[in-house]
Amino acid sequence: MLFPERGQVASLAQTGDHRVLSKHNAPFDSVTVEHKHTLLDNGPDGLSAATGTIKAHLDLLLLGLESLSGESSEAVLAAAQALNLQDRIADRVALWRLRNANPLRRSSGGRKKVDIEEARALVLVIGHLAAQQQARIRSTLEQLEAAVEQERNPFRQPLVGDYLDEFLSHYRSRMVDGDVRDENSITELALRILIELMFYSSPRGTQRLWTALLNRPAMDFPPNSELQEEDVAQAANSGSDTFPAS
Amino acid sequence: MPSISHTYQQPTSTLTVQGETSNPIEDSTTPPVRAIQRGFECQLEIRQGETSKILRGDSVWLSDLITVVERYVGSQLQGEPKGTFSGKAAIRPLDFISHRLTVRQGEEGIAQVDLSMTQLYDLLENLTQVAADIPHLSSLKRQVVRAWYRQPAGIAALLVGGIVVVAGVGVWVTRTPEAEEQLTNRVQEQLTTPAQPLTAAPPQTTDQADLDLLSRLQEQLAEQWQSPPDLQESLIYQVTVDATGSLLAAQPTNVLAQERIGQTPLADLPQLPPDPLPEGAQQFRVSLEPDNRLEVTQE
Repeated sequence: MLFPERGQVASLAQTGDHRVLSKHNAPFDSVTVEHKHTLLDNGPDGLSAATGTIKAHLDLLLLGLESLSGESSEAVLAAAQALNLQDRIADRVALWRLRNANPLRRSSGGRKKVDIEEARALVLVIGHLAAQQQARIRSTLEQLEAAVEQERNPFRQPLVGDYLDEFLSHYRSRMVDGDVRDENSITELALRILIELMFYSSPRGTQRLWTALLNRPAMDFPPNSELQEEDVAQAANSGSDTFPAS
Repeated sequence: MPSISHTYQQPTSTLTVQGETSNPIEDSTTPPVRAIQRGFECQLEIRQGETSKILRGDSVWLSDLITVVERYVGSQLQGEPKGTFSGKAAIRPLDFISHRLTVRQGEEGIAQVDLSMTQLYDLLENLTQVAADIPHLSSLKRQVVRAWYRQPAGIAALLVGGIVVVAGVGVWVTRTPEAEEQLTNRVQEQLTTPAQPLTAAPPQTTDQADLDLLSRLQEQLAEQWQSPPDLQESLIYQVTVDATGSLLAAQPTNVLAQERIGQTPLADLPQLPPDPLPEGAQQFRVSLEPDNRLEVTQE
């Protein structure tokens, strides 16, 4: 079995054999990757608001970064400031609203609409943070690759295990299907997010992310998610700010 | 004529390009390699631990490589990884974290490298940078490739995520750039177009269909087969074709056939047929013989 059950991982952790590196004192040099802050290409004509898929994916990428570093909104706000994006992501509340526009989110009351400029700002922030964390992302990915090649349990690799534990924990507590979604499925999602972050950590990462987002097939949302994809599209097309309550 | 070279370096990948120019660039903001006009050559080293693999090619080769790797990573990042190919390069997923790159290089035949995700990242970084530095790469003058009787064919067939994607095998005569472009377009069309339902073929009896496939295969191979002058014995293959007559696989059935497959029109095909066989696919015994003779029989 490639991805073990959580109980199995917990028992491994208790033995103390495998978690030799703590996430927060891992010996990574900070790296400076010069990001090319090119103007991202415009999206498809008429797309004034982010689709549910775009909103969900941006939030999941931020969740991945958070799971890698242990940092949360402070890092995002600092990045927004460094990139002069305060008008789009002004403070913690604004960020909370943007992230809670993800249709997969449990919480209600957040704003549902994210306009395309706000999505673009989040893309730049994600590229910036991924570049900052490039060394950690790469090391985690290398551990994962070594584990897969040697048919070892990825959860037993210190960096991968820490990342997956964090991601699973955040996903379970924040997403509407967190209680019911199969653990292997969340683990697979976490690993795919990790792989994507590697590619977005490049100086060309933001353009890659933007292009991929605009071409990403529509995501299936659980029936009880706050907003279905078609609702978002209709609302975006009508230019309405009024969204159905969850 | 001044020669220019540059090396692009990533942890697991080193790409060195070189070429000649009559007008060196003196503007320090422009990459010197942009001035390359002719004689372009490149060498790509992909490292894994203590071992490394060296690949070499010309501007068309590198251009194909850039195209397929960028397109492939794009499909990865959109959440739907898909194998892809163009001209002399192909890449496909092996599992969620590794990939198989296949390239044809000059007369040396086909080279294959399995890449991890970090190796793919490093390769993409080098390729994206060289593409930005030499935007006219694909229009650089091609080098003359000397082959004793034919030009190497493009990578024209591969299995993609369980979906069979097939293109014609043989482009055995010297191609003009226009002809190559047409081939590339045709190949890419087949890749991106959803698989045609095999049942869309005109209805015909099985026997008649088999006969048609056999005669089409025979005609196609007869046009392409040029036996090497030193060939003394027959090269025997089990060849699989789909319902439309496109070649899917060629499995050597004798040792000599295995050794000399690179000199046959079947060189670019996978050896193992898809399992299960697509509906309507047929298998034939193909014997390629000295003096440009061949025989195709029903299995």
